[in-house]
Amino acid sequence: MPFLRSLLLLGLLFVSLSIFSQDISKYLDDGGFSKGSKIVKIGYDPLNGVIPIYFEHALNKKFSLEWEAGLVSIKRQNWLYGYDPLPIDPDGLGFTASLGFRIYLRTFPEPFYCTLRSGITSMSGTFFTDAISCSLGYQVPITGRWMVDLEAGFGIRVFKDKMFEEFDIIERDVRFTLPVSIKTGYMF
Amino acid sequence: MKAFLSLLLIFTLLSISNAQNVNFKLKSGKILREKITERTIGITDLGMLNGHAYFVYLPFRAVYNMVSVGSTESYYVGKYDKDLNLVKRGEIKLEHEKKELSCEGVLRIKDKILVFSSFQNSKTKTHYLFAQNLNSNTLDLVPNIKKVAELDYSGFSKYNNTIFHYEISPDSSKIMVFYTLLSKKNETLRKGIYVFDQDMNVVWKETNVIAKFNGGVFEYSRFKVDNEGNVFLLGQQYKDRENYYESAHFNERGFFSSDTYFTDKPNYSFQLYRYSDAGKSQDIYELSLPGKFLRSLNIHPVAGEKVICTGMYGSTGKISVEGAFSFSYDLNSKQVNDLSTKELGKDLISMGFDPTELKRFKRSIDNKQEWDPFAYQLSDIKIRANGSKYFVAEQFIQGTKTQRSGNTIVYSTIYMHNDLIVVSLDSDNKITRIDKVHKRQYWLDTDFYNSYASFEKGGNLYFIFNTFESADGFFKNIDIGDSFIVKLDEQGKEHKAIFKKKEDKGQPMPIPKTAFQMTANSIIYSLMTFNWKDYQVQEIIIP
Repeated sequence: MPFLRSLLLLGLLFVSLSIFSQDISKYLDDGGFSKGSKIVKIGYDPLNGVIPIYFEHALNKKFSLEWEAGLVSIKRQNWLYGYDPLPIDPDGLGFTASLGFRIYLRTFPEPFYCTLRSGITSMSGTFFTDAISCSLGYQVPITGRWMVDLEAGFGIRVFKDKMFEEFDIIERDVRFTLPVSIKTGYMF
Repeated sequence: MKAFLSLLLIFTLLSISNAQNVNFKLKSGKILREKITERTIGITDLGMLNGHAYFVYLPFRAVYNMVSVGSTESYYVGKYDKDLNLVKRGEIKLEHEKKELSCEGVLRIKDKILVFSSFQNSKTKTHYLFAQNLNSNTLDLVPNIKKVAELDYSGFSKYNNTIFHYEISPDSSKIMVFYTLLSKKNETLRKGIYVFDQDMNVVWKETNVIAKFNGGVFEYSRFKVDNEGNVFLLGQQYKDRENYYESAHFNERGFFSSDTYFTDKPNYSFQLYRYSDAGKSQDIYELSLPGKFLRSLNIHPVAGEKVICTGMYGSTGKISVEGAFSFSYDLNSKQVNDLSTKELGKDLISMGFDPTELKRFKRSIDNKQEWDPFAYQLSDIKIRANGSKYFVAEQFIQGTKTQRSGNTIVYSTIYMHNDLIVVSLDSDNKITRIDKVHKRQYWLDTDFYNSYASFEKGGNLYFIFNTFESADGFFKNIDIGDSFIVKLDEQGKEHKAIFKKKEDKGQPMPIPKTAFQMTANSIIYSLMTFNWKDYQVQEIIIP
């Protein structure tokens, strides 16, 4: 008798589950957008002549890390150093690499965020330390998993400058920088 | 000395007899604290199921619609036994194939707990709503998830989110979901209705609910679904809301801060929308009384073709309340029947503000003969054991507190819930008497601890509430008072006792809105500390 009762209960449970239950996977198929936690981006900084590639990966819903590496047009950097002689060549190519820590005002990957970034830039044989920069940005999907990302802020760059060609005097110099970037990328 | 001692004795005896005016027993559960990653900040009630009391614990996002850093984003359900022990606190884990769903609400329908969740699909531009049961024993989700609604937002490039409002029919056989698609600026893009049966099958739906009005501003203030699945929406249409709050406000200036209160103007009217015949038929009714301004209105659809309307009224062109009303509205003839009104009278009209503030209130509005800036939040009609009925109208006003500290100005929202007007009706909905329960509640930024809970025992009505007054200190904005239980006997006589003393600082504070009846002679409610760390449940028993 208890066996029959259990069987009946199991049957009722099955009926109630089957009335209610449904495979909802197809409704959750958003092309993988909600599962995406990494974005590869290419960008351009029109003010400072930097063409970097980026790799951003989410740490959790609020925070992400963004790695940057790119080429620098030295000619577009001259405006930062308004004296003669310049600490860098008049033109040529440099290299920059940095790591940014992002805080999203809502959740990764959109829309508004704040980035704290540190890195180094090498130009004309001199290393420049981009000690810290703080920028605000806006990142949204444009279509499917393709993203567009706009970012602007200010930072502090520290470097050692040989003040006079004739003398071997090297002094620490500090400059304010204005990083601006337009990026597009693919989330996966 | 002798006289002083005699006076002291009299006062002591008076306070003892006052405390004994209401015979009650207070039972407290343990004060509990979760680890920081599982700490929630809001509580709502689910009710009694199989002898256990259930509460839902809400994350920061659910209360403030913002993401918080560090705290949980999950909802939790707490299950308590009759001795107020926490049997289990279970997290509602809404994940399907590694995709996270958003919790959109937890309801108790008959003897089952129903969890609503949603997923915004950016590929199909559709917001899907799902429903599934929660096992009331294990507090685990039952694997019976089902898509119940799909809300297409492909036509709205500015779409951001959807908010859902749920209503259950009196016999729990129908569930209505009223939804609003919102833009990034929280503007309404579209509204819609789904009506489900108790197995969450769609009975009917209307995906574009449009109010029909000429000019002004319109908003829905009440939602009801009856046992047949007919939906009633009460709309409030304002003739004009341009510069509304600039012209109808008044201030209370303190040394450290100033409070500005926003009252209403008598420039709105009520419209009732009825969706019947499985949503195919839509009717609109104007609800009004000749020579009276309906200040606050509640609707109670009854079987057949009528709606019982209850509320508070004033004179045409005035915002101040003069009395309570009840009438039956015939939906076929569009006639008001069985109108019953009763004036509050001078004794019951409650100012709630000092004379200077009232002067400012009078100056702030066109009609200088006003005295009552409050709106009235109306309860549904409740039935006493002897068949008579009552509803409660609670005074409410909202405002803004402005505090200056150097160059910084801090604005906080004021929630003020004051006196309760208790309107008794006979079995034919005729008003028999009006009583008042005095209370003062002033809180900033949330209204968690405001308002009241009520229940009936032996023909007497019992109310529980906290009291808070505004303060104008450098570090102090609120004076926390005692928490009271008030008995309103059948003759309308008020008996009052303290159930939590203001000295109990640091202890969890009752949240009256979470209260529900636990047994025939007791209610249970949840409590939480102001820093959201500790929580507890208590039971008030009327022997």
